[in-house]
Amino acid sequence: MNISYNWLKEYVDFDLEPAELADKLTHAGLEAVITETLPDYFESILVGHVISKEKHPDADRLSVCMVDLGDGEPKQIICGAPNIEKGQKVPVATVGTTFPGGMKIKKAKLRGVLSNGMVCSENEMELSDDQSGIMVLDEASPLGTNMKAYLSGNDVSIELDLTPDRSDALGHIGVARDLAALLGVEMRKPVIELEESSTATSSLMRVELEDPDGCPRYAARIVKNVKIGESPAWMRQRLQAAGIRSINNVVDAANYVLMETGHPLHTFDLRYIEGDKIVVRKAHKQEKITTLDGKERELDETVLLICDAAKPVAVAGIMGGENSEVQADTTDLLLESAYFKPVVVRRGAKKLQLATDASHRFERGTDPNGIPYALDRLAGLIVDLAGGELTNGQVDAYPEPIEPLEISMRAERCNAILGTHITVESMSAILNGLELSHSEKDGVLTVTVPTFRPDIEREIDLIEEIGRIHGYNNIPLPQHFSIANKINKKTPDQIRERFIDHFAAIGFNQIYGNGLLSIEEHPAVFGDEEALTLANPLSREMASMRSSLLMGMAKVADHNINRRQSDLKIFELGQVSTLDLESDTGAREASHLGVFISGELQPKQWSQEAVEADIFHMKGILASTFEDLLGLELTFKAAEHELFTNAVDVVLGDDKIGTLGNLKQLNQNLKSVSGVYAELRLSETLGLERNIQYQQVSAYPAVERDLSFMIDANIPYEQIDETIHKYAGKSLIYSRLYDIYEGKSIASGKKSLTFRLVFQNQKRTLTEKEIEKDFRRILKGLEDAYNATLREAI
Amino acid sequence: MSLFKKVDELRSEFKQALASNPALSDLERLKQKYLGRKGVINDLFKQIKDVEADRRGEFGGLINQLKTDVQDLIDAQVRESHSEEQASDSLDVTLPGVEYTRGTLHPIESTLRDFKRIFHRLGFAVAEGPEIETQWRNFDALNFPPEHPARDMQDTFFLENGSVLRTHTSPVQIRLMLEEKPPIRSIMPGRVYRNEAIDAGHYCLFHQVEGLYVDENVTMGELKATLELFCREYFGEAVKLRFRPSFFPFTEPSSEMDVSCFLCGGKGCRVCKQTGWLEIGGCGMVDPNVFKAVDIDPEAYTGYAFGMGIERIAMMKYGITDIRLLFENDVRFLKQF
Ligand SMILES: [Zn+2]
Repeated sequence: MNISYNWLKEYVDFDLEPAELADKLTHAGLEAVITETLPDYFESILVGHVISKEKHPDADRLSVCMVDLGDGEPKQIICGAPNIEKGQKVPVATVGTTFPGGMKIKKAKLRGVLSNGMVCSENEMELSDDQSGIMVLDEASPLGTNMKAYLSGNDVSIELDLTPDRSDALGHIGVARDLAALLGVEMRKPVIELEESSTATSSLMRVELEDPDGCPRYAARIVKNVKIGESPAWMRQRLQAAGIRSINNVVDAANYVLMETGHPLHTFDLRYIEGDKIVVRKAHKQEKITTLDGKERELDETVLLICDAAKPVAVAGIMGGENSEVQADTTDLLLESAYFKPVVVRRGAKKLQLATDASHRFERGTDPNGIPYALDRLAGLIVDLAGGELTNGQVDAYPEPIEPLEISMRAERCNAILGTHITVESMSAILNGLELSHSEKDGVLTVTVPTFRPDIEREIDLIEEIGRIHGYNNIPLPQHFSIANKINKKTPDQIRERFIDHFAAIGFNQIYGNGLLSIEEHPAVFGDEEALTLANPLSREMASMRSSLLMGMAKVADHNINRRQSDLKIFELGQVSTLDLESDTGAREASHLGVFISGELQPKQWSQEAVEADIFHMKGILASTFEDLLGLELTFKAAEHELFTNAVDVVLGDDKIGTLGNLKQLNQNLKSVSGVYAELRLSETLGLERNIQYQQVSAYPAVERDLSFMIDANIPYEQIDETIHKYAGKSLIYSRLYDIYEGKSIASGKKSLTFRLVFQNQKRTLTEKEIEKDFRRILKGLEDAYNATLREAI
Repeated sequence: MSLFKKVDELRSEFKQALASNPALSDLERLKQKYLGRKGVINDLFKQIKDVEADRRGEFGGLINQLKTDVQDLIDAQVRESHSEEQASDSLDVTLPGVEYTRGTLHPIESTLRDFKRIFHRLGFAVAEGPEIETQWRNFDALNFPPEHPARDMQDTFFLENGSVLRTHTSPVQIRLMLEEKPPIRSIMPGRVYRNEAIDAGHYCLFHQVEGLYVDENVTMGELKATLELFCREYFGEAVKLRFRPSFFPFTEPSSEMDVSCFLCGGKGCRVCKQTGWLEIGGCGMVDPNVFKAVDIDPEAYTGYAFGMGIERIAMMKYGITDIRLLFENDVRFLKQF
């Protein structure tokens, strides 16, 4: 909402520059920024005086005018408007002015006569739809004034970004009230004096509230014999600063009162109200109305209607109907000022998908007891601007008056919450400034909350008012904090941090993927994923929650590989979610670790060869990560998987926690992606239980032995390793596959393996005899199981 | 000659050879001769079968010892030769160091870590919760009345079953207060979602850190002091903080917090839109209705809560002008952090 700096001064005296005012309001919770409501092209449109007007020699409809812009050199301008006359003040677009449509004013010859600018109509300046002729300005306007200054009356427009609780500040009076409280001065509201005819309004109009719950109050007045016309400059300037376009004197008056009181009002053309009555009722299913914007709208019971005896004439609190709109020839008016329940207007606006200035305010809560004031204010303003006679009194249907709330606030409690030492007297002064009348006894302030503050319902709301006006920045800062005496439990995020740090330390870049994917993009990494879909997605591409990290990772890999960044070591640790009907959200979430490597892990350098990414690196990275971080041993099992070639299941204890392998092409858009991918599910309790116990380092020497043997090429390493350990005995503390060789000098169908074995005992030096015995046992085991033959024993 | 004696002879022969201070290439030859596949020690192993059965173990131990000694002595000599070579300055030390590729934390992560570190020092634990929440925990329990315009403050993604993608990490406050008795002092980092069109300043998801302190006698002054300490530690000591009244359904009183622009020092620049201030988050005192929803007595306890957007602060801090860069994950971008 925009407010006008000058307008605000009508209600409260202040000596603040616009910027200071904006700052003051911002610090009271009404976020304010100085804003421009007029586009820049108005700066080069100047007020000019028509000093002569001649007929164009070669064109009947054109006039050749000399226009004085106050710079001492009257300009010759050709004008085609029928209403231009000598002596007028007119808006002149000077050479160089560019209009929003792209039209640029240049020096030009029109039928052989030079023109140095253009005299503008309201339509050309986009001020209104009026294109009947040029705009004629106030005679008193100083020459050369630009139209920005002329139209704004040198006002400054301030944009307020209001929070939804502050419906009271949706008008100048409400803002003035806060400002008065902040400055400690009085606020004044316009005093209304009305002249009324002897005809009672109630004799001309009845109001029936069929739904007093949705519309607790409806008041109306009638004005007869008005003359619809243009509003005066002061009104147009005010509305301009508030960002509202001038329409005609009656509509402008209603908008003015809206912007003044914050109360939305509506004007009907009385001749179209049939049966001398207004009925407020719920719409019927499929009932239709054409609203002021020309759209036919289908309604249902959620929408509240204003009807006459025969038909709906407005959608309550949202928009009027076309059938009863005020027009140029309207003479008699029905003025509406009503209170509609916020939730009713909200439902209606949602149903119609129509948000208006009126619905915005009704949804946030208007003042049911401010209705008569707003209605009288409108009536008085219309009579001032458009003439006419006001009938006697308001018709006011208000079967169950809404009473102000009474709330107590303990001064001590207020200070305890804010951490302040505000005196009871100061609190009382703040409440008075906000028109919150109250009494005080023993440090308890009992406040009668006017209905224009529906946001104040409880003691805490009053405490906020005290804090707000006192100033949050005036709350002192304590020098010490209290800290809860409570154990800080070990949480999964600490384990995740260790994973992340570890991967970064070994050269990986951490990524944060988008968690929203298209419904088709859920590769089954674990096989049990059932992805969750959104009821109101942003787009088809982001219509479901990720059930694994793979698709996000592949997209990141694709992005990078397409930009010649194909040596990748990237990982993500993130949440994924899948359908789970057992849970109260319908979802199950888990932490996943996704790791992707491609290209070269280490580039070729002068001192070493390149290291290519492959599944054995991935196995090693994962195994060492779990071992180092958590002291847990991962095992790997060859597997089949539709997403991978050379798939390997990753097993922890007895549980498969993930899979790795060479990634197959996921879809047509991700052709560039090739590399090794692993995804693991990290349980909530993973690593939380680790308990490191020191193991004494043996004081006795470790003895290394290399074991080389030939074996059938098709026997997997895993089985060989198992056999070695099965027969090794307790002294074997370490074994490593040292070399693997097939080909030249090895019989076909065979391979040669070399293991480095390390033997050691905790309590004594192993004898050669003992080592030899273990060694022979291992060899015998391999011979028996696989016909292995010793190549060399050292 | 007995095989035992042969072992002794080989040992002294080897020592002699080594005493002549052989060059590196000679050492390699020695190694082949003694330790190679067809070397003399291997020969000895093959002859174990010729030793009387009851002395074979002893013999094996002897040759193993010999082998170990030979290996150790050669290794030592090689090391010495190398260091001599290096001492002779013949090595081109200007050759580049071996490249080790470094890894990086994502800027969202490193920003979050900074937050955690500071709040951890101030005695805050870390609590987390799911990204998919019930409407009750995301809205109702947080004092968002049904059909209230406050619900429009956060554009919400819904699942088909009516659950929501949490619009803030505040539902974790609800979970925490239902699970634990006060005092509660935790920060709650996590991913949240908003149904907003994506542009340079907005993404459909982002990360928040919220904080909650519930105890006896918690005041708004303490909330301010805590956040000021945080901001001065994170943004720099010179930074100033201001609090502006605002509205959040789950806090009352509610406040926005701004820091003086650390780029221009408050004079006004492009980043702070000439205001000299940067909005960094919201805060306030826990609304009594929230306490009622989780069965904590609002007369006995008070509390404060605050929340900040990680992306927003990371972008200000690192000078990132487009939030989409954070989720694109171009490695040339990631490697800068
Ligand atoms: Zn700045």
